[in-house]
Amino acid sequence: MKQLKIIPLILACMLFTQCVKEIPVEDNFEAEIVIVGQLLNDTNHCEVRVQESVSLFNTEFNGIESASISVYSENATGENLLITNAFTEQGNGSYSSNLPIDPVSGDYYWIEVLLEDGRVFMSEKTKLKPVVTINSITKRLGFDDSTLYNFIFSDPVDENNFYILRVLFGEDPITIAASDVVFNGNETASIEVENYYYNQTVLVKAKMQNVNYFTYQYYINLLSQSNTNNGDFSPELLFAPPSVNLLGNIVEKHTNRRVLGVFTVAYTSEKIVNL
Amino acid sequence: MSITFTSNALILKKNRSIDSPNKQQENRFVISGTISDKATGETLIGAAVIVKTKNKGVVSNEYGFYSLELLESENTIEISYLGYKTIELSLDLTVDQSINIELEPENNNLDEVVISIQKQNKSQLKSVIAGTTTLNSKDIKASPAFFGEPDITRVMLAQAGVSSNGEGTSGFNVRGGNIDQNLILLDEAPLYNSSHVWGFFSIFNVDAIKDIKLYKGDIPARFGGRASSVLDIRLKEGSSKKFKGEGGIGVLFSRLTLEGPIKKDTSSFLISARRSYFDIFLDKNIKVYFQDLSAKFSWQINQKNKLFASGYFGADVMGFTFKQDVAEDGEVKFIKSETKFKWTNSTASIRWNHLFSNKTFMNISAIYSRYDYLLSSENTGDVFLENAATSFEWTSVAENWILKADLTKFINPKTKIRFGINNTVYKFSPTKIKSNATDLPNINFDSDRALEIAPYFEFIKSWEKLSLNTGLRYSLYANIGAHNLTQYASGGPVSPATIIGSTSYKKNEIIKRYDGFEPRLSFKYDLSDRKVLKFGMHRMYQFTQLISNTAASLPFDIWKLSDPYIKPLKVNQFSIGYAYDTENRAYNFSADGYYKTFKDIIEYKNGAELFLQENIESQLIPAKGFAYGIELAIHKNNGPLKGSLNYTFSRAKRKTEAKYVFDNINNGDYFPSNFDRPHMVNLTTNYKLNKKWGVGLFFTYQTGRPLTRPTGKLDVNGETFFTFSDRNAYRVPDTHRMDFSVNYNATGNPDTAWKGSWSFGLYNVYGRKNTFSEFTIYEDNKVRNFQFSVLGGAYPFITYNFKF
Repeated sequence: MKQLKIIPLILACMLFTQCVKEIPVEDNFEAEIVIVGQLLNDTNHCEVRVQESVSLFNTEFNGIESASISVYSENATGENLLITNAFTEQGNGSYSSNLPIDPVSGDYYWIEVLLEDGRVFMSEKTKLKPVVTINSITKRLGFDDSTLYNFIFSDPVDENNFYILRVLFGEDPITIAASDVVFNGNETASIEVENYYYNQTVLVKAKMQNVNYFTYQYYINLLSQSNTNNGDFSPELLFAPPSVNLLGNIVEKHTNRRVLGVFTVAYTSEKIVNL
Repeated sequence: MSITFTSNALILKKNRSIDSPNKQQENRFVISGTISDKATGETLIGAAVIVKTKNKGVVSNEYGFYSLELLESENTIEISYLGYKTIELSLDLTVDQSINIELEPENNNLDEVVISIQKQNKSQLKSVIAGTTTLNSKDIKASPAFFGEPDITRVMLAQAGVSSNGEGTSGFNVRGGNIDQNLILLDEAPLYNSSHVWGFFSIFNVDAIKDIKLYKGDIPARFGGRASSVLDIRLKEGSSKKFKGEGGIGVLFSRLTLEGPIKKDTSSFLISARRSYFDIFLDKNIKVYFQDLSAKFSWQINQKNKLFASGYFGADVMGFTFKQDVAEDGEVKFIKSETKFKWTNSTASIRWNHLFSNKTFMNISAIYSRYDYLLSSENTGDVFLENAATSFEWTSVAENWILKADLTKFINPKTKIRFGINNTVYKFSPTKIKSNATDLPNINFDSDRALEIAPYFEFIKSWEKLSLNTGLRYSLYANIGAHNLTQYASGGPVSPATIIGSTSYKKNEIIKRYDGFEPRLSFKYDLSDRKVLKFGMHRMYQFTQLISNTAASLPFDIWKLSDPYIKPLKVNQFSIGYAYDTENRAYNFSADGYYKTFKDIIEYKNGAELFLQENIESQLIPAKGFAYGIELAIHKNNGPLKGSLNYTFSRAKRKTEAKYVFDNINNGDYFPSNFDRPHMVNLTTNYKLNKKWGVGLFFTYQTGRPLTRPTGKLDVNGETFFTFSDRNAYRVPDTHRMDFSVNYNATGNPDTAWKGSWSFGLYNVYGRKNTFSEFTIYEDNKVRNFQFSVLGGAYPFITYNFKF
């Protein structure tokens, strides 16, 4: 549906595009802590990456070592439990829990990250939502010789759901974030992905997670940045909304301010087909 | 009594009296009537009727009507209006009299695109209300023009305290207010979009306009519904004396206005149209044009009744067509795809003026206003074309129905009251998509409906040195069904994640009610006959807001009514002003200061998704804000060199107040609004070289508008992403521009009615590429930064204007 918005923007840009020129990049560096973590049933481990942003001119990224990480849960009776605080550093600011964790649907999970300098960051309590299974995958011809793949599933009727769909077409990865606003409760709900393999069979590997709103919003922001920041000039940039930071559900405990990153808890369903 | 002038004589004709003199006040008499242009019969707004040698008098109202109570001894009055010869009348005051006065233009020569001939006087001494600007079509034509086309929006942008987000953006910002906070009225009908071609031109044809008044400071109680300013535009009534026309042929578009009597001195018409033709320079498959039509009918039914019917229709159309031969099943088919984007404004007003007595004037108006846009695509055949879109039609509509009554009672020359009631029905249909394609569903979001009832009262009084204009407006607003209102889990944020269902409301059932009093108060104190001090305050409620979080407003931004989740915007403004005229009014100086607060203004969540968003409230957060500033202006009125210079210092900031604190922007700290531009300077000069030639120069400078910049980068799964500064923590470079014009008025054959003039010059003389926005991308392992300028060079223009 995004094409609806792009059409008038393209028309406007016919008037404007000659007025774009490259200008020097300014160094306005402000260091930010970024924490991205996940607890998924398919890996059974909690994985967290802690980094500090770097200047636009840096060529290396800055993973933060020696952080202490804890995973907590709250069960149906409201009891809070420390699941584990045993994590192994894997370099470049990446950490993985030493023991496997089996998350329970309906329970809440969160992490706490303590840095060497004493700063503490926590994710908000995040509910593990029930698994939503991909029932089938279909394909048909789209515009411009493209192929439209539909990933069909049954959307739970009782609440608003948000999905992250990661698809590998051969070795070509695509990530989609979708909400069920349009198809809420539809037993044959589908998420459509465009690619270019109509005349050939390709191995399609799809993983779908039923995530929480903050994870969905984080991925929306991530994908939005990915589309606008990477690649050539696009007409949409002329009328772009304010630039969006990758904010999710991580909060610095002392200042009570949101910082960059997200902690995701989700069940993953997987479907692999030759199509 | 009616008065007309010949070349050297004054003719007074006695009319029958309307009322007998009041026996309780034998020595007091009332004169009343209309003041109009002698040549055209066009009524004059704001013409002064003053008792000679005494500091008392009145000005004609927006329908040219005046009423003045006089003592028997006060038998000499003076009538004056800018650009017209002042006249003096000696009256035989024995009964109340109806006197229609006709004023003769001071300069009967061709007056269009005349940069320096007209006698200007921008004195702020008389107006009790601080921060008002009054203009007529001559002022507009003498002001900076884009491609030589006189334009109201550009003239507004040359006023102190008025800014925009950049070249070619839609609308304007007044004293820290959003563009949706301006009440733009065309013959009392509100307009939702005032721009053609994405903001390059205003939708008003200057030739059809009689009078424009911008209230950016204090706002009288008769106006309401928008929080920051009122732009009150009145169309000409059309000449009731003789048939005439005027127009212009420009590089981008042409315009033509015809007017004349239907029955001389009784009824008249005006019809005015414009059509652009710049699409002829584009590929034949690309269609880009605009057109508008204004029409008005005026009928003086009798001495006590007058009827007006007016309408406006304007449309912008952009589209492209793809044609292609497609091979299918061994057969070659010719396939055509057409995509069209169109937005239109339509208004219709019927107004009835009635005189209950020579002291009581009434106007009743019935008004309809509509703004809609359409995006459609049509494919012939079943085959999708390269770059073509799916077949669909997407529409959005905002409609108003208004019924209002306004009464004015002229109690005595120093006291006047106005009162009335304004009733508005709103219906906004945000999105409807009809689709034939399987991958695009049919969508029909619920319409928003509301009713607003607003009675008001104004009291205008002057004493020896003190003048008062005060009033009170009461706004009662109800958001009504039929509507399905989304419900959110209590205690949590209003977000898509907390939707728990919806509640259905029946047709006309009240969903949410808001009401409030809006006090208005303006004082003027005359320090001397050339120096005044002013003070004012007002409160305004606004029940409809434009939903847009892009750098520039777009035609497909939607309007949203207040509802249980979106409270009405409340603005309080305090202002103080000082005005000074030099001897003979050669120079007018004014200084105005203001402080303004905003409550429940709309802001947008980080990463808000507004496009095709049914639950738009889930993407919004309430905010408060403030704006303050000082505006200095000086006008030079005499001599061959005339012009104005103004400087504005202002700040406008916002602070989000989300219930769920993590939704707050910049963690709930204050941040500059998108149009916070602290320093603005505008210089307009006109120099008359001789009777035929004149030159004009316009210069503007503004602090660059705020923006959010990347401040670093990070890695997510091997892909580079940016971190960004706080909202609007940086600014684009300061913007400035100079325009130059030359005007030639051919004296022509004095025996023919046809008068022509030429206007040519350069827009953006030194080709300044003002930054509209910046964007940063990551490409080939390198960060690259780009600047976008709407105008990329100097633009020459030439326009031929004519009048007959």
